[in-house]
Amino acid sequence: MAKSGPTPAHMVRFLVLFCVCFLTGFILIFVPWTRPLVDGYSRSIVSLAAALIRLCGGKAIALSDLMRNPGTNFEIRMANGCNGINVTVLLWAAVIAFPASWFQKIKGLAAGTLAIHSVNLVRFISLYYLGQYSQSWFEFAHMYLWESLMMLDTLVVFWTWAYFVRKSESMAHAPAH
Amino acid sequence: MPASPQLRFLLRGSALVVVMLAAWWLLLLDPLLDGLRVSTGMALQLMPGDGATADAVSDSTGNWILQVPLPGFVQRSEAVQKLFKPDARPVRLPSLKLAVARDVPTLFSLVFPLFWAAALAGPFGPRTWKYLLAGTAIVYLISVGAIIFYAVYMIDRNLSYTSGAANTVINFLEYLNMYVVPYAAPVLTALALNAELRAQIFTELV
Repeated sequence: MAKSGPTPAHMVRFLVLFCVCFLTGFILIFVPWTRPLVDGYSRSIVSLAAALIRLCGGKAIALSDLMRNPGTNFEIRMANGCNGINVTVLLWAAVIAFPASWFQKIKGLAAGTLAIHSVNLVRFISLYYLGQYSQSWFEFAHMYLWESLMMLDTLVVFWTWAYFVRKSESMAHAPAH
Repeated sequence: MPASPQLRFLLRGSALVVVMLAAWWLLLLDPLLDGLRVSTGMALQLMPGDGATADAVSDSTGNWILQVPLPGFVQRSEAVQKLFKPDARPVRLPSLKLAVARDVPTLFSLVFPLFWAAALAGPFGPRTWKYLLAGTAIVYLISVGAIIFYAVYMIDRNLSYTSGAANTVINFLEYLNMYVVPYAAPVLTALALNAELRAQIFTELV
């Protein structure tokens, strides 16, 4: 099957919508009245991570946005920017800007958000253990490695969703035999 | 070899991120920071104010000392003048010295390894080298721009120059500058330059 690339007009439309949604998303997470929601979400990730660690036999207690090892008193804080919200905004902006039905977009937003935050949970737990092993490795993984991987993951999540959207559209438009 | 282009991109991209970050951290960071510092000094000279006062040097610990020129309207502002004793006013303050921890330009130089990883993870063609070079130049400019914006933000914070809505806007832009630009800009640049990758993602967009 021949592939037809996106036309400049479609790319411009996508780009404009993406920028609008991107800015709107970041303004929404920046305004003070959404702060309790974002902070509450960060606390819930910490609680979930601590529960998962205990479930697997590890030691961790959640104290608001801090996760502490009761044995060593090592603490890691889920700061704003580490909670996966930033990449979620990027994903949401891309999904909303992409030409698809609202039903498909909602499915993409839900599944994509779940995928990103699952990776972020793994990231947070890995940083918790890495921080107890080496502070310098923790800093490197925290600031550079995991953030870079999260960005690539977000692009792949969007790409996978866009592929399924196109696939379902081409099946819907396939001629009946 | 995985069949899906998405999985292939993810695996190749993740491996490249690790390799590029290692090369960046162990070999390229110092020369990149030197280049960025020199470019930042040149960019500061182009800022409004007395460009001759601009400078960007590195101290023995690797931290940067920026001499940032102040535009005339900032020098004359109450925020600046109230820093001095009333009998000494009006005071001319052509530039401000700003200490920048090495971690800050290091973060902004992350755009290089991340761009190279994202660019090389996509489909490879005869034009790949061309957009690798073009993209490196673009992320270089983004990196210098981010450092300049950081300097402007820090000076604003030190002088308490902006207030109200203007202060909210500058805080918002600095949030994007520190938490979004270093990570998103290189991937978006790779996507913007690599037509084949873009076509794979957006194929049959109609």
